[in-house]
Amino acid sequence: MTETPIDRREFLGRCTRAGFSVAAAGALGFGFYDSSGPDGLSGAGASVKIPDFSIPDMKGKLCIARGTVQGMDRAATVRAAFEALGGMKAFVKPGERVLLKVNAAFASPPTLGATSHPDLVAAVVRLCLDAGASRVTITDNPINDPASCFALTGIDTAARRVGAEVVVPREALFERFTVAGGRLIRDWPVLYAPLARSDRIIGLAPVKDHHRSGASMTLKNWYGLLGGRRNIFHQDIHTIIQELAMMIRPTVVVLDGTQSMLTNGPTGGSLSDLKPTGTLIVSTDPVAADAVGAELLGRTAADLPYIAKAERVGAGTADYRSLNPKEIQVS
Amino acid sequence: MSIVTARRISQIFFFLLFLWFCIVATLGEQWWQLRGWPVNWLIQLDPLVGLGTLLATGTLYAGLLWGLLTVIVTILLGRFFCGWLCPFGALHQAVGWLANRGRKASMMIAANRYRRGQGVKYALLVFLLAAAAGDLIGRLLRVSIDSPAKAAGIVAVMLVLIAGAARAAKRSVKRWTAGIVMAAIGVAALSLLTDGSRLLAASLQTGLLDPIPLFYRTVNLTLLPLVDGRLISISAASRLYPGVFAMGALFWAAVFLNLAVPRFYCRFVCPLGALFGLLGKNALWRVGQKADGCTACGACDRYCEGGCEPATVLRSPECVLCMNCLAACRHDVMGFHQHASAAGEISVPDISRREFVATLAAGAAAVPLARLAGMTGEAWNPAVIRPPGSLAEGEFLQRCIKCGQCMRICPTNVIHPAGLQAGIEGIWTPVLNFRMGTSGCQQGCIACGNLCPTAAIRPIALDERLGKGTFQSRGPIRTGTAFVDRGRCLPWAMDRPCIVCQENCPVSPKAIFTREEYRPIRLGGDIRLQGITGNRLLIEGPVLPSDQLATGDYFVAIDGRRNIPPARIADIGSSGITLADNPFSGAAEKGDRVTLLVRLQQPYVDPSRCIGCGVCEHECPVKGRRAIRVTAENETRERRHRLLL
Amino acid sequence: MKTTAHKKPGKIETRLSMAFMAILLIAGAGVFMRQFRINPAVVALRPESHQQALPSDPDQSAVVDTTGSKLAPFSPPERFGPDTLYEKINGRADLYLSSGFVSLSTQRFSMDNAAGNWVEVFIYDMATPENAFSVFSMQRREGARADGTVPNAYRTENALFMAHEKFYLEIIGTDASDALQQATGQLARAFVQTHGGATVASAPGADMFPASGLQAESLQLVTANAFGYEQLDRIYTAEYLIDGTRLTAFVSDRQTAAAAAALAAQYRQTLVSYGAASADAPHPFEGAAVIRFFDTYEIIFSRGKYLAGIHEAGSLEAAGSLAGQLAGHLERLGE
Repeated sequence: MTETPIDRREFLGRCTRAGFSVAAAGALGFGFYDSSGPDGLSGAGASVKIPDFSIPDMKGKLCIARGTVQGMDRAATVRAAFEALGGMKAFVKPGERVLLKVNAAFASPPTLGATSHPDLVAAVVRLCLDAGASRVTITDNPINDPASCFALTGIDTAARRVGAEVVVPREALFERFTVAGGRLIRDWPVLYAPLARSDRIIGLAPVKDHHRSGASMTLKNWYGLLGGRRNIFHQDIHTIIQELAMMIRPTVVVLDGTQSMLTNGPTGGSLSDLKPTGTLIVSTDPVAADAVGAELLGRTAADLPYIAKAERVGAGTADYRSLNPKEIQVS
Repeated sequence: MSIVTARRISQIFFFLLFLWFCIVATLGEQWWQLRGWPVNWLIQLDPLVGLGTLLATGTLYAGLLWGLLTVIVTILLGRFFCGWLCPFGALHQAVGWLANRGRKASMMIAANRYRRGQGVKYALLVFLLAAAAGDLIGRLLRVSIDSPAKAAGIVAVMLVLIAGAARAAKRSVKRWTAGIVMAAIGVAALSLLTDGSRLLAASLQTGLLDPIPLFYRTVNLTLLPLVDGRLISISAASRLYPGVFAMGALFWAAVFLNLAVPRFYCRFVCPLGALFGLLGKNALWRVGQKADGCTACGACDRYCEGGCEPATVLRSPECVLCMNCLAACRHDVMGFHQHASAAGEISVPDISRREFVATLAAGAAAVPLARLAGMTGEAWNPAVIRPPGSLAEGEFLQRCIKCGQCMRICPTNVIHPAGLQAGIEGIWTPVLNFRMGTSGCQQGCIACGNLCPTAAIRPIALDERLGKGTFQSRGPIRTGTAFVDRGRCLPWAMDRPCIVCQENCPVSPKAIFTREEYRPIRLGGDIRLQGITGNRLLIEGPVLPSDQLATGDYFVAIDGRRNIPPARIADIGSSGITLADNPFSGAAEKGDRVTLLVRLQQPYVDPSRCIGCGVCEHECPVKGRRAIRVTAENETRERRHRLLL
Repeated sequence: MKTTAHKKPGKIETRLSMAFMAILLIAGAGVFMRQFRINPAVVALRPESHQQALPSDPDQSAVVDTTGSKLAPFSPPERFGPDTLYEKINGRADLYLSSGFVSLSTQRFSMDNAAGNWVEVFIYDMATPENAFSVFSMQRREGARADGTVPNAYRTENALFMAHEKFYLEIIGTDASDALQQATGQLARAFVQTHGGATVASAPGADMFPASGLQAESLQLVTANAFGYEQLDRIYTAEYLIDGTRLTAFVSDRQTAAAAAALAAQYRQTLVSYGAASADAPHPFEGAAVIRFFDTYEIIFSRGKYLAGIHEAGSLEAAGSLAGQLAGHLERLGE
C-alpha cells in the first residue's frame, strides 16, 4: 500500500481537527462541570434594587388642606396644598421623570370613590409638567382587568388629556424583588420597569375603609406595585403594608379625603358608603398622611396596627402633629 | 482472538452489565440490591444526556462527565459506542441476526444498503438539541434594552452582521454559519420587538428517543414488573405503572422493526447514533478498503450492521465499527486504517443545510409553543406532584431524561411516569400517585434524588428532607398538601366513624387532627326509655344493629336532658342498652325519647405541618377516589405554589 | 453467527482484542469496587442515620438504662402528657386518662442496630400502684401467660406487660423471635432493678382472696364505677371456678367497718331500686344479702372494713359456698 502526499496531508488535517474537537469537548465538559448539582432554591438570584425616591431636605412636610365639604374642587385644593409646601418645584426638578402611583384597583366609576379621582390625577400631572418634568407616567397593577380599570375609572382619559403616559402592567414589566430585612416580599414579582424609569414617585390614594387592614390609604396603595398571587399576603396584611413602606420611600404622597369611603371598603359600590370629608393631605411622610386619614374615617392611628408597624421601620411618624402641619383652608 | 469476537464479548459484557444494573436497582444492602452499584454508569457514559443537560442548564452534573470519555474516544475512532457498548444496539443486533438466519446473501445485502431515511436521525438529533437549547440562546442574546442608544447600537450591530452574513452566503462559504447567524439575528430582532421572555424556552426531550434512557425506562417499567415474582423477587411488592403501554409499544416496535431492516432503530431513529456520526467525522482510524484487490463480491455489505455500504462509497457516519466487514472479506481488502476507504468515503452526515436549519428552527420553536399551555406557570397542574427534592417545574423539564430510575428505586412504588398531566413536555416524567403503591412517600427515604442521573430530583440529604440540623429553618421538604374531600369522607359525609388518615399521618406533631361531633343516627323509629337498671337502659323501639353500636363510637342521649353529656354504649343486649357509664340514673323517666348518637372525629389538615407524603391518601378507606387527596399546593419546589406565608 | 471468512486473525488484531478484553476487565473490576461505596439512599435506611438526626441532648437519657447490654436506644425518648396522649395511643387514651394517668414515656430499642427489629417500651406513670395495677389488670390480653422472671407481669407472643409500683409498662417487640423476646425480659428486669427492685412488687389486693378455686392471673382492680355503679370504687375482683361454675368475687378495702357496712347496704338498695328483688333462697350466712337480678344472683356482705360479695352468679349454690369461704378468709384477715 502506498501513501500519497494528499493522503498524508488529509490525515494531518484530520488529526488537527480531531485534536481541536477533543480539546473543545474537554473544555466544555470541565468548564461547565458541576459536581454538586442545583441547590433547589429557584430564582434566588440577584434581586433588583428600588431606589429611595424621597428628597432629604423635604423630610416631614405635611399640609392638610380643607375645602368646602360639599363639592370641593380637587384641582384647586391640591394646587394650594403643594403651594403651601413650597410648590411642586420643591419636589420635581426640571427634566425629571415622575411616576404617579394611582389607585386604579377596581373597574368602577370615579363617583364611587373606590379609585383615584381623574380630576386629581390630571391636576397632579399638570403640576408636575409645569414644574418641568420631562415625562409623567401613571401606573397601577389593579385587581380587575387592568385596561378596563384605567378606562372605567376615567384615569386613562384624564391622563391622555393632560399628556401623561399610562403604563398598563404586563408580565415583562415585573421583576423579582426582595425587601432587605423583609419576611414576606422575598423574591416576589414587583412592577419594576416603571419604577426603574423614574426619578420621582408620587402616591395618589383615596381615603377608604378596608375590610382586612382597617383602612386603605397611601401606604396600602403600594400594594398595587406587587404582582404574582399577592392575595396570599392577606393572611398577614399589616406586615405586608409594613414591608411595602420599607420597599417604597416616595417623593410625596397625596391622600384624597374629599370624600371618604366609610363602609364596605375597599370596593364600596354605593354612594351611601361615601361621606364628604372635604380634606386633602399632601405629605412627604406617608405614615403621617395615613394618621390624618384615619381621623377622617373616624378612627385613630392606634386603630390601624400597620401604622405603628410602618413607624417602627422608619417610614414616618404616626404623631403627625409633631411635624407642624400646615393647615390651610381653600374656599 | 479476532476483533469480531472481542466485539461480541464486549457487547455481551455491557448487555449483562445493563441488565444487572436494572435488577439491582432496589433499595437494600445485599449484594443483589443497590448497595453502591453504579447503576447510572451507562446513562452517564451516554454523552447525549450530558450534552442535552449542558445545553438546557449550562452545567454538566457530576457523573455526566463520563460522557466526555465517550465523546473523546468517538472523535478519535468513530461510533464504537453503537457497535461495542450500547446494550440497546446489542439487542437490535441479536434480533436482526435471528431475523436474517437462513436468508440469502442477496436479500441481506439488499437489507443493508444505505437508505436516504438514515438521515432522519440527524434531523431528530438537531430537533431535540434545539429544543433543549432555548435558554442558552436566550442567555447569549440577553441584553437589556432600556435606552434608545442601546437599541440603536444593537440595530447597528445587527445590520453589520446581516451584511456580513449576506456576503458570506453569496460566496457560499460557511453556509451553515451564515444560516445560524441569520437565525440568531431573526431571534434578536424578535426579542427587540417583543418581551422576548416567551420566544425562547428550553425543554430536554432527548430522553424520549435516547437509547440508553429508553432502554432503562422500558426494562424498569414494562419488563421487570412482568417477570418479578416467585422465583426472583426483585422488588418488595409487585409493581404497577399505569400508562406505560405507549412506552412498551415504542420499545417493541423498535425491536420488531429489526425484522424488516437490521438495526432499524440505530440506522434511522437513534439520536445518540446521530451525535456519534457527527462527532466521528474526523476519526483518525476508520474502516475502509485498501487501494486494490476488491472483487466487488459484496460479502462485506452482507453483514454490515450500520448500513454504511463498505463495498462501494463508504458512509463513515453510519459505520458502527462492528468490524464484520473485516472478517467477511476473503481478499483482505477491508481494514481499519488511517486513510479513507480507497473506494471512496462520505464522512459528512446525510443532512442538507435546508433540513438542518428547518429542524433547528422547528426544535427551537416547538418548546415556546408547548409552553403556551402555561403548565409551568399559571396553568400548573396541581395533580402533578413531583418526588421530594424535585426542582421547580421549568428547571425540572430542563433536566429530566425520563429514564425511570426514580420509579424503579422507589420502595413504595408511588413514583409513576406521567401521561399528559404534566403537559406534552412532561410525558413519562416522574409524578407521585398515592392511589398506587404500598404506602405513601416515605419520610425517611431519599432514594429517588440519589438515583437521579441529572439532578432533576436533587440528591437531598435526610436532614434536608426532614428539615433537621442545618435545614431547621427551611423546614421539611413538602411535596404538596392533603385536602379532605368532605363530600366523600366517611365521618364528614356519611356519619361513619373513621380516623384512618389521622392515625396514619407520619409527621410529628400530626398534620391531621380531628374535631369531635355527635350526630343522631338513622333508625326505623323512635326509641323510648322503659327503665334503668345500673348501667342498662331498658328500651322499646326498633331492633338495633348491636354489632355496629357496641364499637365504642356510639352514644346515647335522652331528649330534654341537654345538660347531660352523651353516654357511651358498651353493649346492646336483649334487655336493652348497656352503657359504659350511666349518667342518667335518676335523671330520666320512663317514656323519655332516647336518641342514639354517633361520635364522629372529623379530620382537618394543618397546612403548616402537612408535607404531602400521601400516606393518608394511600390509607383512606374510600378506595376509588380517595376522600383525602394530596395536590401540589404548598410544595417546597415552587415558591409560587405556596399556600401560607 | 457465520460472518467470518475462516481466516486466522492477525497478530495486531489479536493484541488489540486482548487489550480490549483487559479494558473490560478493568471496567468490571471498577464496577465491583464501586459497589462497596454504599449509596446515600441506602445509608439513609440504616437505623443509625435516623439516630444521627436526633438531638444529642444529654438530658434525654434513655427511659430504661441499657448500658452493659446488647440493646441500645434507637429512637429518642418521647414523652406524652394527658393532653398529648392521644397522639401516641389514640383510642385507648380514655382508659388511662380516667385512671389517674400522669405521663407516658416511650422509646425504641434495638439489638445490634438490626434494621426492622426493635422493641418499643411504653412506660405509663399512673401516680399510684393501685392505678397502675388497675390499668394492667383491666387490659389483660387473651392468651397471656405469666412471666416467671418479673412479678406482676405476663407475656403474649411478642410482648411483655407489667405493673411495677406506680408504673404500667408495655414492652412490645416487632416480632415474636426469641432474641427480641429475651430483650423484652431484659428491659423489664432492668426497669425493675432501677425502680426499687423485685421485692416491692406484689399485686395489691392479692391477699384479700382465698386461694382455693382462684383462677390464676384473674385479679383485677377497678378503680371507679365498678359494675357500672357510681358508688363502687376501688373494687378488686377475682375469678373463681367452683364446682365447674365460673364466679366473680369482689372485695373492697374501706376506711372503717361502718363505711363498709354502709356501702354494702347502699349497693343493695341501688340494685333493688333498679328492679332487683331479694331472693327467696336461704341466706348463706348471717348479714349476707342475696339478690336476684334478672336471672343472676348477687351476694353482698361486709366483714370488718371489707365490702365483699359475689357478682352476677349463675348458680346460687356455688355462689353461696364461695361467699362463705370469702367471708371466712376476710374474718381471719381482719384479726
